[in-house]
Amino acid sequence: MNELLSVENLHKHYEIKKLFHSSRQLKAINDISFHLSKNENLGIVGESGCGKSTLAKVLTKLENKTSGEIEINGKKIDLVDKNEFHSLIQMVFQDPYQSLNPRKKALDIIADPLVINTQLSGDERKNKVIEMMKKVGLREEFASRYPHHFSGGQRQRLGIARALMLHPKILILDEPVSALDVSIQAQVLNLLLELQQEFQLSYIFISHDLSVIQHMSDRILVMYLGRIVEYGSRDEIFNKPLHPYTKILLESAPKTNREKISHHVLNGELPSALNLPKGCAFAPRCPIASDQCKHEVPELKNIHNRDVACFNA
Amino acid sequence: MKIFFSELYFELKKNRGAMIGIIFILVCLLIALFAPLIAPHNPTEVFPEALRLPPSFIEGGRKGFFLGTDDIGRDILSRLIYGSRISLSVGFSVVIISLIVGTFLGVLSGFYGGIIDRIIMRITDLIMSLPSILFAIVIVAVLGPGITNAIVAVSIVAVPNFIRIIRSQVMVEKNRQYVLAARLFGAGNFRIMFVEILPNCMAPLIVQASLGFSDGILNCAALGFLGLGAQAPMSEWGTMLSDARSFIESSPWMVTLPGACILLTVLSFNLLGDGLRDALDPRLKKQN
Amino acid sequence: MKTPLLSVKDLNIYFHSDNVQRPIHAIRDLSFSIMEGEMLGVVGESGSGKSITNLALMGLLGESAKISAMECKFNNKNLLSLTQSQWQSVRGGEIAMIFQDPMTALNPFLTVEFQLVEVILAHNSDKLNKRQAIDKALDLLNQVGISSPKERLKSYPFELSGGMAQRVMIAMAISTNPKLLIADEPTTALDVTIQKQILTLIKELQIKKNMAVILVTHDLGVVSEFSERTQVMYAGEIIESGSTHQIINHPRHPYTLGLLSSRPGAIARNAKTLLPSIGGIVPAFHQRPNGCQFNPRCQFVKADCQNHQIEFIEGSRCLYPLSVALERSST
Repeated sequence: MNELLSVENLHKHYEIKKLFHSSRQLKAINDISFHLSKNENLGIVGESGCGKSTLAKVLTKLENKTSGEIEINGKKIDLVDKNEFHSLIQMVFQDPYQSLNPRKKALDIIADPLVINTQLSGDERKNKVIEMMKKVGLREEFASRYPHHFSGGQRQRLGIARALMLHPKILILDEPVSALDVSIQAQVLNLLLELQQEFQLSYIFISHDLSVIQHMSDRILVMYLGRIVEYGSRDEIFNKPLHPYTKILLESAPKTNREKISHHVLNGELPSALNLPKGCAFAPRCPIASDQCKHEVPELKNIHNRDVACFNA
Repeated sequence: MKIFFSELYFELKKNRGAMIGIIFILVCLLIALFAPLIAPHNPTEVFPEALRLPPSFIEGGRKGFFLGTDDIGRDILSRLIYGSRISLSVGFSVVIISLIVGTFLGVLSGFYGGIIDRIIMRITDLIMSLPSILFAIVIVAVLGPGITNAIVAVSIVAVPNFIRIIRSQVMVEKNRQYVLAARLFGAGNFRIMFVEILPNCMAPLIVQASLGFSDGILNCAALGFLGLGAQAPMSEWGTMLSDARSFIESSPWMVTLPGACILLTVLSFNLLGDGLRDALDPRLKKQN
Repeated sequence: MKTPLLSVKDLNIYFHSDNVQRPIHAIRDLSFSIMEGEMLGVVGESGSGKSITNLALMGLLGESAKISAMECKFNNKNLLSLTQSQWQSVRGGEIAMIFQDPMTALNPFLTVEFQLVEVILAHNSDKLNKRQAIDKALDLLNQVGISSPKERLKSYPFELSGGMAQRVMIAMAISTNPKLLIADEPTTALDVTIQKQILTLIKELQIKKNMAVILVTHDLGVVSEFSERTQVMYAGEIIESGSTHQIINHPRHPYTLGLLSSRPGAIARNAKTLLPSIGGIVPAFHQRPNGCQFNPRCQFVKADCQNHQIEFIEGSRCLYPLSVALERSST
């Protein structure tokens, strides 16, 4: 099987210590399993605080997992050699204004991964950087400029170029276009699709914007408070969402087509992850919650070609 | 970096005080560099026939001694000119030593936090809990008087300022996303600390360095005045001041002139430092 | 015909700066009007001038701005000739505004109660005392749909979620029963489900209080759900205006068309196909092109687009407006 990444029962818990209080656990990621194949895009959707950014950090080893198994390219993540790991999985950040060092020139920013992970000479590095800059649509003469000379879209291109320097197989994109203007978003999304063909990449696309997820993904994972609520192929989920949360998420996204506009509004807000409800985490806001939902946590079960964690789906 | 300094100069040019400071410092620097060419006499040469002469433009002055002579007949102008060499090099050494040590400790402290931070911060608290000149006196008393030991003492006293400034700046910068990005392709801690983060802490560092320069000069002069710094016959401004203080009524120029030199040099570094602070303060910087 | 609540004709805003010789022409010949109780959507990217226009309407532009207009009338008052003290009763009284980031608009050191009561007492037309003002604050929190308002009054802003903070901002804005509410990207910082809650709330208040709303956003989806009329701004000009339905389904300006068709996620589209995107970026204030502002990025550009100053005719500022009703499918 050409599975690049497989995640089994992943947990990430934080200990919150407070003076005079016993320490509490914050379950940022709670029993998550998924897999990613070559050339495939997985979209991860959820509101802020649902654990999607923590997931990205655990996958890139910026944070350690609490328990569970992550296998990357057939090897357990802890056993992968450090250098090899960096050339397997890389990440592009949301905020192109924060993720580039303001005191470094574009050339040095993009060349950094090569400086650390390869023994190339300065000239060889420069050639590779220029080549990559052209691929992401930046002109050669931009190499000697500092980040503040670039527009938002160009900065995001810089971030993408840096992430691709080691030719990773998997690229995690954490809200890559949400800080950009509408007309620039499409440019960057197109660039990502072209690069995917050229470098044979697999994307993990994290976003709260459903239209972006819908456009970019083959399969979609919907998260709510650290848990998977629905996981399946793009068409299944967008055409016939089964979990009430997915349904409401889809209905809430602003649409230009008036017939499709729903006047359904989801009440309440995301509860604190420190204070999870006893049963299904979504039950307090759910329009179809039953008594069972309030007392038991629903397991993921396979219905209509996708996994859903709901008693009433 | 080049852009950084050209922008800095552009901002500084608007500040008249800072420009005056820079010009005075440059003049001092030139005088110090070319002291043997400019000075009319050897600073240690004694003219037994010319004791405590007033400046030449005052009645009783003699032509060869423009600013007069001191109590054992040495030319004050030459001593002041050579004194600038000592003062500037003292200031420079103090800044370099305290900058390097302070930056290193400050970066470690801010980056790692925890036990390392606590140890470093308690030591700085200890140093800062005493008046700096008092602490310097204690150190020189232990090490023995002399210009080198005075520099060491003043540098130690100056280190905590650098540590604190760098530490707080590093604590802000280390949480920025570009640091996360650097981790992602495997940058080690030392690379992150000194290649990624440190260049972003330059602004307050430059300000503190220029203020540290004046503190260094002032403290060394004070040690010299107390007889703990430069030793005779070295012509150091602080020492000159202390040698001349018994003649303050009969020959006031002997006290006034080295005092004025210290005042002006310290003032110009402070002006420069304030100018730099205004130019580099991100809150005052306009968005363009 | 009824007179509009706010009518602006040929509004121009220049900025003077020491570094640049020519004043920057930020806003060019802006004309629009809004009726009492109407919601007007304003769509534009960053750099389109929508925020500058809002600040001008609130009298909040600094000294460096020079504003001129044929007419800038609000509720029979000429906004351009108001004195500072007159502004103070208009601003926050008759015209209120809410911002993109509610967290930075609230003072982190003061409780919700303190800040709300302060606003109520500042425009105190009913001569309320402190006690009554607190009651009114409670009532306002109820109106903006905050659950357990009594406890929320005692909260500090950092204890509120983004959606809750925006509700508090709305409560402050409506405390004086303004005739016009300017909502400057009120939901950009919020999650989709909260965005829907907030926009629905604004819509309800608009109808209930017969309050005119200028809803500024970069998302065409938002205006198409909530506003009757829409205008699209680009590089300091209004380039298209009309009924939202018309603009969404039959855009006349190529920029509007570009914005619409570059929206990802149309269901009819296959996943992972290239989007028809607009090339280039919005020109900066000091680098604006001659002729039509959009011509360097326009896919239908013709030679004379570059040398004419384009007039605003029949709802769009384009020499060759798109006449064919383009068949579009969208979500």
